[in-house]
This record gives sequence, C-alpha cells and structure tokens, in this order.
Amino acid sequence: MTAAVDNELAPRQQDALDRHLTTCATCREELAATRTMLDVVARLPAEMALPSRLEEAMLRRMRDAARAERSERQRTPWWRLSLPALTVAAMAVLALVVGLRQFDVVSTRSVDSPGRQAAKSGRPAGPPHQVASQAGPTHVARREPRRGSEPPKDPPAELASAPDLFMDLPILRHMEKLEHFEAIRTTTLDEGPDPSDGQQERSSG
Amino acid sequence: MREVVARVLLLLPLLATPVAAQGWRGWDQLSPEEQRRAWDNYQRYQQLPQQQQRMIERRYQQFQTMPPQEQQRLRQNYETYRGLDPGARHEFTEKYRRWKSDRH
Repeated sequence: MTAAVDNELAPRQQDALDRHLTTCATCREELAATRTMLDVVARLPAEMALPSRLEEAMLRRMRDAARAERSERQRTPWWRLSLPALTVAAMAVLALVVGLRQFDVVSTRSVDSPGRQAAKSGRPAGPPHQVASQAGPTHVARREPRRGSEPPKDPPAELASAPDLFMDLPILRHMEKLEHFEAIRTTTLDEGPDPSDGQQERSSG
Repeated sequence: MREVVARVLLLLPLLATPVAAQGWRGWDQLSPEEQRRAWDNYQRYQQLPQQQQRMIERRYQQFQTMPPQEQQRLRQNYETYRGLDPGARHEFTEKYRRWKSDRH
C-alpha cells in the first residue's frame, strides 16, 4: 500500500491493484488510511534528538518487525496486509515522536558517559572524536540512521582486523545470486495472470 | 566486550590463509573512499541479526578461498546486478526464487 501511495508500483502491479480496488471496499479504505498516515508522517520533522540507547532499541525492534513482516508477506498477498498492523505502526511512530521530545529533555540531564554505554553494549567506544559526539543525544536522520558519517581514524577492532569483509559486504550478502548469475538470468518464468506477489526485494546496497 | 574479542579471534585465522597471500591490506592502507565504504558497510553489518553476521563471515571465508578469476567474476556480476533498474531487478529476484525452488 505504501508503494502504491508513493507511485512506486510496477505498471503491472498498479494495474492489478486498480482492478482489485474496483471490487474491494476494504482495500480502498486501507489505501486511503495509508495515504493519510503517510501524509502525517511526511509532515513530521526530518531530524530529531535521540538518545543513542533508545535509538539502538528502536532499530532492533524495527529489524524484528521487518523480519516478521517479510515472512508474513511470503504467505499473504501484498494488498491484503492488515490495516490494523499499519495503524499500530503509525500510532507507534507518532507516539514515539511525541514521547521523545519529552524524554529527550529528561535524558540530556542523566545520559550515560560514552565509555559506560560502550561497556554496557559490549562494543568499542570508538575514536575520541566519535566519543565526543556521543556525549549528548544523537542526531539521526529518519531514513539512514548513523550512516554517511566520517570513517574513524582508529576503527573498531572487527573492522581493522578484516576491512575486506566490510568492503565486499554487498557481494557477500548476494553471493549465491552472483555465483549463479547467468543461470538465474536465463531461468524462465511462467506466464501467469498476476505474477506480482508483493515480495519485491528491498535494495540492500 | 567479550563478544567483540571472540569475533576478532574468529576472524584472525582468515587473515593467515589465502588472504595474506593475496595481499591483505590494513585499514591505513585503504583509500579514503574505501575507508568510507568499509565504515558504512561495517555499520550496516552491526545492524544485522547475529545469524546473518555468522553467514556473512562464512561467505567471506569462502570468498577468500576462491581463485582471483572467480572473485573477479562475482564482482562483475555484482556490478551488473547493481546496475539493474527496479523492474529488471524485480524480475531477476523472481527468477532467483524460481531457480532456487527448481534446484531444491
């Protein structure tokens, strides 16, 4: 539904959805609700102050939710994703945005030192200039948290011990596809009435 | 912290095998652009579930034992894959699913 609202569907998917909407009032309502929700989200501020511990917890939950959603999509046609799930997600985002503004005021007075945070998370504290930047609440963009920052002069041990692993990460993630690239490309798909199932892979770099 | 140390120890043997023979480069020997790419990917890696991290480490080990020509073939295939437009990538993904199900 979000892809439909953003005009990101492939033409065949769009046609299939349009046909379906002419006969399904539930999906029409769901599309309208999704459009409203995205409008509200689009008007939210692009950046906000976010304590790093809370940010990590959020990211973990979002990953879990995405995994659950992905496995659910493999069983459910994409246009039948439940309205309650979208509504709950929208409410959670809105509640988080409102709540964070309050929470941030309190947390800036009692935020842990970077060293203590690193000790708790089990990860290196990072180089001095990063540590300094972690002293206050972290400013993150909504779509790409933490990425695009300058690489450290003194990288974490895992990165320093195997930089090639991280240089080639996209290749490693798609390794099976890349190993059998030609065989996959020459695979033929059956012609069916509606080949789209909403399982389009998300770009992962 | 113990987990980080354990993972570093896990990765160290990888450096002693074909990687070293093929000219392993340390962090300081990477260009600024390479450092940026590695750093960005490192952050992505940190956000993956542990199961996927383990899988990537295994694939890394496998990749490093491949002949250079095979590594180059995979790099070229990745560049082709990355250059696919959204429609072509979707089609490729569908074909990949079909290919995989036919295979099993």
